[in-house]
Amino acid sequence: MPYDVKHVLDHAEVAGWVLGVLDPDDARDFQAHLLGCDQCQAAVAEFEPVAQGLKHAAPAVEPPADLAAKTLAAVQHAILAGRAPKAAPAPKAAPAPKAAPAPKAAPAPQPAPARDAALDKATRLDIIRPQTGPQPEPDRLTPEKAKAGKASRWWHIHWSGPLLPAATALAAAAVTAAAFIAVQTLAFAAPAVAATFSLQAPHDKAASGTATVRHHDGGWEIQLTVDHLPALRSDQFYECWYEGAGNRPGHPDLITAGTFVVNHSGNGTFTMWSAANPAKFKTMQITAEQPGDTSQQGAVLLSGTARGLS
Amino acid sequence: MGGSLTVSVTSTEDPNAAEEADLVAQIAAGDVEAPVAELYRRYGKRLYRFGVQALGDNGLAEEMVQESFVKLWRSAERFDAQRGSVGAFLFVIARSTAADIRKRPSSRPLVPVEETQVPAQPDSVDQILDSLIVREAFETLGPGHAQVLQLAQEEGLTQSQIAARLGLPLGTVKTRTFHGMRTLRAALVERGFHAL
Repeated sequence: MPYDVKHVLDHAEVAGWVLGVLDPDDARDFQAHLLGCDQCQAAVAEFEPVAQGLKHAAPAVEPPADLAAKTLAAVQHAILAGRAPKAAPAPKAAPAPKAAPAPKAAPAPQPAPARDAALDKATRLDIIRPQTGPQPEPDRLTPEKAKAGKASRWWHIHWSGPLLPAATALAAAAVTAAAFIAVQTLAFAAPAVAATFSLQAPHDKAASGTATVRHHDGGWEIQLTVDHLPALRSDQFYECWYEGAGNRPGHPDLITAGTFVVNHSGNGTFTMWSAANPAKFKTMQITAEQPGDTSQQGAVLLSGTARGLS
Repeated sequence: MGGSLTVSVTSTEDPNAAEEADLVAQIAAGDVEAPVAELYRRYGKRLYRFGVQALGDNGLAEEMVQESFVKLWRSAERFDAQRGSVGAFLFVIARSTAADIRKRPSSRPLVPVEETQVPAQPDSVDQILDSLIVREAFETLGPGHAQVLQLAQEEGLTQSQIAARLGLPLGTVKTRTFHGMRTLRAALVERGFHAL
């Protein structure tokens, strides 16, 4: 029933009454008024379902700022793995005894029943609308940024040392994949873990990291997570390295796994690609570098040895 | 199981519908990055919140969002704009994905064997939808209205306590609460909140 807004506004306690937040004196006075006022009774009837709904409102959670990039990366990963929308298989598992079973192609969404009440609401009543307001823009993937070697989220690989000739073919495939894979990916049916690294800081106890390595057809996928790395100058970036057993000053035995930058808290999770076999390059290091000399110049900030080699 | 996804045909006229259908068509044609980014911008928060409600875990909700967009890519060729909106299409996918995630053993919290508990059942989809409607309607309120309602609802403050907290006259708090509730109600009506 419509009510006289001007009248009810003179008794604005009606909203507080419905919400149960009137002070005792106001509550008593309004209750006495309500008994004889059909306008305010109509307003109460209108507000009560609103108050009930407010009690059960969804929490105002915000998605993580990197979910956009992760989502895009997941789609890109699926494209690379499936090659075509219709095939859409998950990445092939490595031929290992502990490999996960062959992943099934994701089933199409279940057909909704002819009259799905909730879906009717979603469609008919147009609650699913585009969001308004500023939204974090997902990072733009460009091969150009990857090639420019800028200090950015985009990781690149380069090869140095004695493995360059042997790794050329794998590097070409990996660079192609790298240009289309964003910072974070989701492996829906990931191959078995080939190795893990627990990265510790020699001096800064706050900094740490973990890496999980899985073998794919084109090489090894590294899922690297770092925490509390120190802030860098604007011209610097972090680089992840594999260290071989023969590495010593003047005789480097290193392969880079990629470069990255972290957020203001010094944290981040990244997916990288390398031809380096963790069974042969058993130490992982994180250093701070800057463009120019592609060899390892910075001090080792995090390091760890491969565990669980399979 | 085969054939096209069936979506309710009682679609509202939506000026964005054609635009979003075109985005899905681009995805089906292999142009993925920009359309996925735009659809995420439009629906990502809503889907994430649905996931949090349906799965009770932020990490699983993230997984659900990502898997939903991958499934959108995989089924983009089968999307039929005549049968429903892209938003509803995504929602159907999300609902199915959430159900799949709930079934996975890895989604269940680790508990000692001697403390097995019946996992809490999620709210029904209808309840979750309603809660999302209310949250989104609430977020359309101006800060003055939102503030008084939030303090009343979430902190249980009386109106005089709210006035003291915000440094406002009590009368101002009363009228802001009144207008806030009216505005919220209008926003809920606009969104088809079923209880009104």
